[in-house]
Amino acid sequence: MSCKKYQKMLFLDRPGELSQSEQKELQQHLLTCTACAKLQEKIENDAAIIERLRQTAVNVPNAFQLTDDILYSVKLQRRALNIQRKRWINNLFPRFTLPRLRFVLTTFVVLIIAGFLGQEVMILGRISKLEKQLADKPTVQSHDIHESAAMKSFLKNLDQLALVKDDKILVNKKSLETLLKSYGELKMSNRILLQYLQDHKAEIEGFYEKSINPDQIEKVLKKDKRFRQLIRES
Amino acid sequence: MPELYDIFLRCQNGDLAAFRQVVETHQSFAFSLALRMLCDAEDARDVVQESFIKVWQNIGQFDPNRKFTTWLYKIITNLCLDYLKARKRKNRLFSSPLDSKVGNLARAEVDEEKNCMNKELIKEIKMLAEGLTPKQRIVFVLRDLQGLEMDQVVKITGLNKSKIKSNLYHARMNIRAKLEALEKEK
Repeated sequence: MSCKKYQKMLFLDRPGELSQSEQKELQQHLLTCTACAKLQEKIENDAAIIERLRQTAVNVPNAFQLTDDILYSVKLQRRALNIQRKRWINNLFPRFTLPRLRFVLTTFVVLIIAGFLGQEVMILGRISKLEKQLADKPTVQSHDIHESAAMKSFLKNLDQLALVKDDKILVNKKSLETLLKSYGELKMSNRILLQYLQDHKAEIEGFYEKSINPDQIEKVLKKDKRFRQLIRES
Repeated sequence: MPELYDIFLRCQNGDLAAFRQVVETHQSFAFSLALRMLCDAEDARDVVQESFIKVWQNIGQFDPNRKFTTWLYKIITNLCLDYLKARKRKNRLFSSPLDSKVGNLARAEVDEEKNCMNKELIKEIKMLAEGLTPKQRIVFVLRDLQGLEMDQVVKITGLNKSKIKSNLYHARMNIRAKLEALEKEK
């Protein structure tokens, strides 16, 4: 095999430069090749010369001067940086001392603060208005649902509870009594029915059984303020 | 080590007295490395100065838990590489034989005046490393003259192992050829 490969390996025969297998291969080759063994000897001599150079101490001429020079350069750099920074601030500051600019800036700040305060007041006003509305009446949506459902039920219940005969309304007393007793749990439709009877008490003439006191109906209805308002609105 | 840690923390806070301590501790090592790489005391001094200025400028990015010398090695090596490349370019531009002879003579005189202490060492390294490319010279100095491990050389130069080996092989072969020629002369 050519020695060139091994010669290259010889120049790199230092710790960490050749792999273990390469080292083994090189050692085996050196046992048989005198030319390479000679080269190895020379390279080892070179390494010794280089090692001597490595061990030779280097003196820093004028070490104190070098330290001072380095620190002086650093100080100069720092000063240059500070001057740059100061220049920037100095250029910026006088602009703020101009009376017109000061007036404009103050006006701007006052306007911004006023805007914020106005917005706050508007928001608070709206909130209190909403709170009032919510406290005064239930939501419109729930009214609509109740009303439409109640009216349908009312028409249905009217046939069962009362009937119109010769322009006169005849009421089933038993049914009415049951309604009045369970007034606390009355459905909206039944309340409307009662209200209807109340409104038309002048027309109510005869009953199937005993007569019913229309004041009794009114008394019950008066208790439910919310219902009265609903009827008023409808 | 904790002492050094504190010193670097103080440097990061802009303490120049602490930085003076860093410079005093490491300037000898920095000069030795730069001189071995450049073989010119004046250039080595400039590189040391520039290196420490760079250290000061970037001290905020340095992690005091890490080894400072590795970072300094990196900075010096990069600066020396730039110097060597610039020198190579300059030599190519002004390479008339008369100029170079006059230049060498003038340079030699200046060197003699300024570097009498390291004269012998510079002379020998100059003789050995002459003709090496900047990369070969850097790798040779780090590995053979500074005695760094391969992994450290990889870290400092940023070259991969095979490239370092190739540069080392060429550098050592070149040096062998010079020493061979010297032996023959004797």
